[in-house]
Amino acid sequence: MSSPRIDRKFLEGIFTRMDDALDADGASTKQTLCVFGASAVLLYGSDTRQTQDVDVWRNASDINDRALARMAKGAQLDLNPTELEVDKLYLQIVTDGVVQLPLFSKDRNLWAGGKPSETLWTGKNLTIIAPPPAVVAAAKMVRAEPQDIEDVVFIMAKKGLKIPDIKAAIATFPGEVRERASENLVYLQLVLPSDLSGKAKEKDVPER
Amino acid sequence: MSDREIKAAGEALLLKFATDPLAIPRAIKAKDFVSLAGIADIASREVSPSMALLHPARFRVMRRAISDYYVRGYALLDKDVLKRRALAQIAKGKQS
Repeated sequence: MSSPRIDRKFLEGIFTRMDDALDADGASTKQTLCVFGASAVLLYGSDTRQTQDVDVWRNASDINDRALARMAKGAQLDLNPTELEVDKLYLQIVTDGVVQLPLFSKDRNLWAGGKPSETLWTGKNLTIIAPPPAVVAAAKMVRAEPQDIEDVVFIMAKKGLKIPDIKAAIATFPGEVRERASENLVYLQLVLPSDLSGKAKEKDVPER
Repeated sequence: MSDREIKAAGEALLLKFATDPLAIPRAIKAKDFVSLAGIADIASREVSPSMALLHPARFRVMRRAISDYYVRGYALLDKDVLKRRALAQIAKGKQS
C-alpha cells in the first residue's frame, strides 16, 4: 500500500479540520503553529512537493498540549508518533535537538536576525506561521540532500531570495550547523548567475 | 564535439527528470555541469516541432519535463555559467 502524501490542497484541508476541532467544544483558544520544512514549501505555493508529515517548531509556536491533541484528533493525524506507520499522516512537534533553528523571541515575534515570522494560513482560531523564507532555506542547507536542494531552488525562485539572503540567515543559526550549511551553499553558488549567487562574475571558472 | 556531448547529457538528464523529480538536484550535488548545462539549454528553447512527428512519445515527455523544470524553479539555473563549467569539466576529463 502506498503511503498517503500531503499536497498543498490537502494540507490546507488538514488545517481547516484542525481549526474546526478547536472550535468544536466551545472552549476554543487561539493557537499558532510554526511550520517549517516541507509544509512551509507547500504553503509558499509549490504544486509539486509532497510530504507525509507536518513539522511544527515548538519554540516559535503558541500552543498548549490539550489543544494540540484535539487538533490532531480532529484532523486524524498521529501526534509525535514514536513509530511511523506508512499509511498514516502525522504532526511532529520539534524542539531544539536534531533540528536546530535560530533563536526566536515570542515577545517581539522576531527571529534572530530581526525578521518576523510569516503568516501562511489563518482560520478562526488557528494561525499557521513559518520562519522567514531565508531561514527555511538556510535550515534546508544544513542537510542539503537532493530534496532540500530542490526546495531551496523553489524558495529562491518563489520568494526572490538570493544566496546572500540565505547566508545572512545561516549566520543566525547555532554554531555547529552554521559551518555545514555555509559549505553546502557552494552547490547552488556554482549553478546560479552571479547576481543571485553573490559571487563576482567569473571569466573562466576554476572548478572547486 | 563538446556541444554535442552537452546536448546528449542534457537530454538524458531531462528524460531521467521526467520519471525522477530529484534527478536535477542530484546532478547539482554531483557537480555534473555537463548534464546541467545541457538541460538548462534545452529548457531555454522549444523542443523542436519536427520531433513531434518523428518521436511523438519522446516529444511529449520532453515538453512535460520542461514545464516541470520551470514549475520547480529551475529557471534560476544559469545556462551560460553552466556551459563554461561544463566545457571546463569536459576539458579536464579529456586531460586525465
